[in-house]
Amino acid sequence: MAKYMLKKILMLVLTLLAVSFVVFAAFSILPGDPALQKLGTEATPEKLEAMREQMGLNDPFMVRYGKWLLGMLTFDFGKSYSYSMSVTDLIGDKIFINFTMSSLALVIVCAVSIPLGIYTAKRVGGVVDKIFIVINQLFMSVPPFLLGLLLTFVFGLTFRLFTPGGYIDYHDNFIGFVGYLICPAIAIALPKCAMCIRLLKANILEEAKKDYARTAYSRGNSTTSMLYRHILQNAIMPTITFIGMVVADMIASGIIIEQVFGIPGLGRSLLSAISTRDYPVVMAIVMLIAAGIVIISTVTDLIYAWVDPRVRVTGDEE
Amino acid sequence: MKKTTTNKNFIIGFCMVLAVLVFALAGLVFAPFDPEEMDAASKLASPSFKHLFGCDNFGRDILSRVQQGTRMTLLIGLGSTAIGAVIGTILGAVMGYFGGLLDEGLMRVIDVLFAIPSILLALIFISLFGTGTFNVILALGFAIVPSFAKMVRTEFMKQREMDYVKAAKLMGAGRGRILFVHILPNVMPTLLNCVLISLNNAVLAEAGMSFLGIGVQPPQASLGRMLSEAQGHLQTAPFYTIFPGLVMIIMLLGFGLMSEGGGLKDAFRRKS
Repeated sequence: MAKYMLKKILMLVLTLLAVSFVVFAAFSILPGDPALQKLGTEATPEKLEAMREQMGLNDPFMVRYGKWLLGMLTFDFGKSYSYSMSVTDLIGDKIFINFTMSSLALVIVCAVSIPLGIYTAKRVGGVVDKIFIVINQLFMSVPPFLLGLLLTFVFGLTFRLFTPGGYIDYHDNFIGFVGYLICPAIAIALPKCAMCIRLLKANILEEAKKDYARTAYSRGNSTTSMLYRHILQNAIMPTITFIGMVVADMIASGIIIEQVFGIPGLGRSLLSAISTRDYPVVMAIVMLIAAGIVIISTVTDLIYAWVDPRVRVTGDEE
Repeated sequence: MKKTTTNKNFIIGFCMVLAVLVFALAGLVFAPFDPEEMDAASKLASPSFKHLFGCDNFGRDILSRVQQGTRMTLLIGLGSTAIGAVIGTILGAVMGYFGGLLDEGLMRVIDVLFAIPSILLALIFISLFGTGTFNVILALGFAIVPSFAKMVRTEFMKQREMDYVKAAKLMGAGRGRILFVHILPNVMPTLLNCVLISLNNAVLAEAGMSFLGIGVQPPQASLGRMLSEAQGHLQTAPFYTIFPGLVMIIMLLGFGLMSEGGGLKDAFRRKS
């Protein structure tokens, strides 16, 4: 296990290093001079040169990359071009918003899809199962932001359960903050729920066909105990991996959902930074999201290996 | 039993996509109004016989705009999928067939790109090269490449060891010929399925980007753009959201059903 863990963590570090290099290189080859952009119309050749020196733009590429990378390790992402403040101050407390929203969505996905997946597998071919086949297919095709608009219309404007656009900051009212994030989280989670329900059902039905299930059944286990004590353990593992992968998608669709519900999270900062060409902010947010995704996928792999020893062995060959 | 359901799904999905396509293309021949013509008198007018889908906040006919927007969304979806599919197939084929150091290196790059969600990749691309329809197509095409190459690579790795490939090699066929004349037709069913999935994702991503205002620029219509413009009028003019949304759901549902469970694979295999 220790060896497997070490390998996975090493991969994590290497992947993040590579991501950071790609991101830094992509934003460095750009035409345009950040110093000129910052000075605007006040630029004289002397001021420009001084500003370049101050911003460290005269250093060679690898030196700048190294500085940026070391800075990130201490959560120093450099200075924003548009605002005279550090990127960390600019986006620091927004991470929490996205973290809460994604976590809520994750909780919803698990809470909804695992019971429903088991239920539809138990009653396969039944009315509920058939209804869910249609519902799942439908939800998988609705883009999250459209779902967000629908939820706004139904719960916000018709039932008035929340005020659309009335985001509550977590410094003011934490319960209200979480309450406001529930609808966005649902909008992100529903399409993923549909996929997870289908996957879990398919896995349960697949496992139920295997020899060990037949043996367990012939030894007098009831359908229920067979399902929960034998089949589920095997069937749920691919679902967990899938949920791990889905988190990446949920973080990404969060960027769009923020706009629907008027949440001032990382997505909004990213968009405004893109439109003002504030590259340090763009780079920082991209790195944060990528880091979040890579860390989650590593943690999922480790949990998987911890629960299922077979993975540790076969995983090594990969 | 299973086969008939997947085929049924495929046909239903195909009909949905066809219906959307006919609806969008019909706008070229017959659009009730000019999609960019503004009529101050009918701002946010409810659906009527004159304006079947109603009018938007500038008094533009929503039906005509939905038609134009669907064409735009389909164009971007098809364009970006074409770019992604061609580059992805070539990369995947070379990686899967030759293997070795090149494959190892490119695979790591793909792994890195996988760590960044495709919409974020497209956003980075847009922030580097600017907005506009053509850049959106390039950005989404670029974002499709990694997943496409990965899927194609697996297929080519499987085919590499097959007897017909060895036979072709013995007969002195060149590498390019083996890759694209011998192996490619055999992986076609999987490839077409990848194309459908990519198309689905591209349409979804385009809508998302236009919704964020960094995709198609006004006054051009796209479904995502319309939905983002409609958001502010959700309470007074829900029809503004409903019609573009409905067309988008039908289109995505169609693609989803078509790619569902390898429906296309079956349809394709039966033909050959």
